[in-house]
Amino acid sequence: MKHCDEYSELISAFIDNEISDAEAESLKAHLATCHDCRAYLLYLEKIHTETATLAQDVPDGFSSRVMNSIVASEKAQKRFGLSRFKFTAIAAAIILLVFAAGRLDSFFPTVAEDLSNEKVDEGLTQGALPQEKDLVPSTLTPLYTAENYAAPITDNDSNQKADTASDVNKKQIPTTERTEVPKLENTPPPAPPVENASNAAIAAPEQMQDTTVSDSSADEDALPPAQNIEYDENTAAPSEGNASAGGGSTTVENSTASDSGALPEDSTAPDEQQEEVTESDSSSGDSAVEETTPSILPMPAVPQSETYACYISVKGQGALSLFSEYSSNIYEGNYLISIDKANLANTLSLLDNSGFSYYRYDGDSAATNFLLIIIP
Amino acid sequence: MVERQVELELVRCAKDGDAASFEELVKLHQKRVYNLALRMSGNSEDALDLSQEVFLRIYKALPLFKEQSAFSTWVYSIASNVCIDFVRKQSKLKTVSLYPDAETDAAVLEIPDNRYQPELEYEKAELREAISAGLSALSAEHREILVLREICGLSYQEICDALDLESGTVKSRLSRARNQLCVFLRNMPVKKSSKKEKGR
Repeated sequence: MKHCDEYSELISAFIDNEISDAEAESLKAHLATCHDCRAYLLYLEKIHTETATLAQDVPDGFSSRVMNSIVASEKAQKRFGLSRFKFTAIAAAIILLVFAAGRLDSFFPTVAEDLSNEKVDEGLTQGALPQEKDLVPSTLTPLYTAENYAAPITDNDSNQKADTASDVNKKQIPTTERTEVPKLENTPPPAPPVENASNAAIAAPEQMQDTTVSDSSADEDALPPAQNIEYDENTAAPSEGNASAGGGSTTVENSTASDSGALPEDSTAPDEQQEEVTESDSSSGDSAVEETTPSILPMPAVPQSETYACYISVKGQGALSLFSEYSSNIYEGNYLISIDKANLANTLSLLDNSGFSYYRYDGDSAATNFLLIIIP
Repeated sequence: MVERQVELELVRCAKDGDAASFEELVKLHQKRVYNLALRMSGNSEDALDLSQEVFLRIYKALPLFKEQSAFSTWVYSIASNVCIDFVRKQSKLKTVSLYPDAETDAAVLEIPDNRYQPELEYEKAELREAISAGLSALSAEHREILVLREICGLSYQEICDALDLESGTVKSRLSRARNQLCVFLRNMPVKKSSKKEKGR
């Protein structure tokens, strides 16, 4: 186009009647002298006129179509809202399931981890306690049977247990105090965590023969309870000659609180032990001795609330004979047995009536879940 | 002014849920909206769908209309957005070069004095057809503003409000759009050949 560019906007606005008077006068003056711009103006006016005729009528029923679409959209929105609610509900359910699954996952791995820790501890124990194999015969078989769970605990038994627990926490016992048949009042005070004591007992059986727990308690190498849990035929060692020849001592050397007091109070130790404790039971009364036998490791894990983890350190001929009543496969050594809580008093009564002195330590007075019985 | 007051009353009734009032509003603006959609889409089917979409959006957004501007301006603003979105989505839209015979443009420009007299070259029907083709060949911005002005009849101010443009921008854009359309019409190859045949 050869029209003047500087007047093209004015020409366009002039066609639309969107031009000021001053602009109109300026444009008219230019058009009077510019043929190209006049031709361009005429051309745009022609296009402007014809373009306006391009407007087409809307097809009939368009407004009804629009209204129908609005109604349909509202219905769809309602359906969408309902489906969205359903979707939300389903999503919430899925989230809950996933969350629950996550909780389960977080639980089961813990169990699996505990089991794996038991394996590790077992290996450590086996490695750390080579003497156990030497002390326990390899022919030792598991004695635990479910039938060993028996008589419910009596009131007297409960009282005795409570007294024992309270005394344990209150009193301190001399370092080495030989007493006759054990009295609960003389039971050692807040004592070393069972795992330490048992560890010491296991690690230093010779010292146990000296009937001082303090020596053993000084030995604070942590020994996971699981070590003893996994005792089985393989870990059990044949008894030594001196063990079988050792006379059955009828006295018990109570370990001192002073010695044991140096031991750290590990509140977690009982729990850990308790988790690893396996079930066993002793029947009530002396007559039950023949009927039931305390379980000797290995024992299956049971809920900790039902059993005590009872570490027994057996030394001397008499102790062996005592436990021979429970089982003919008891030999000198350290054992972890599980005693049913309901039959704890019966078991202790059985020990008391056996005539052997023994050392007993209740791990936790509030929720006693393990015992330490040392029969020197 | 009276019409605008009536329109405002219809808007208020429609806001209150009166479907009949909204349908009246549709009828008031459907032709302009449809023609804008028709020119922007290029076919009546898409134009109907786009127009329907425009009024559906208007209905849903009606509670948001604050009556601070003319309802028609608001309608064209929504219509413009819908149409521009459509054009952008139609990336495969066939475009027509404004210079189809660029290589031979010099020869075309040799056509003498009657170049600004399209009535001599085309019949009115042909001219309208050529303008339609020219509109389709324009860019979306030029096409939109030209349709709003030439077909829908919006004033510059209304276009400013609908497209949210400055008045100077509207003026210059309209001028460029018209100039582009003129270039296209002059360079329509078919018409050139027919003119040559006439010349013979």
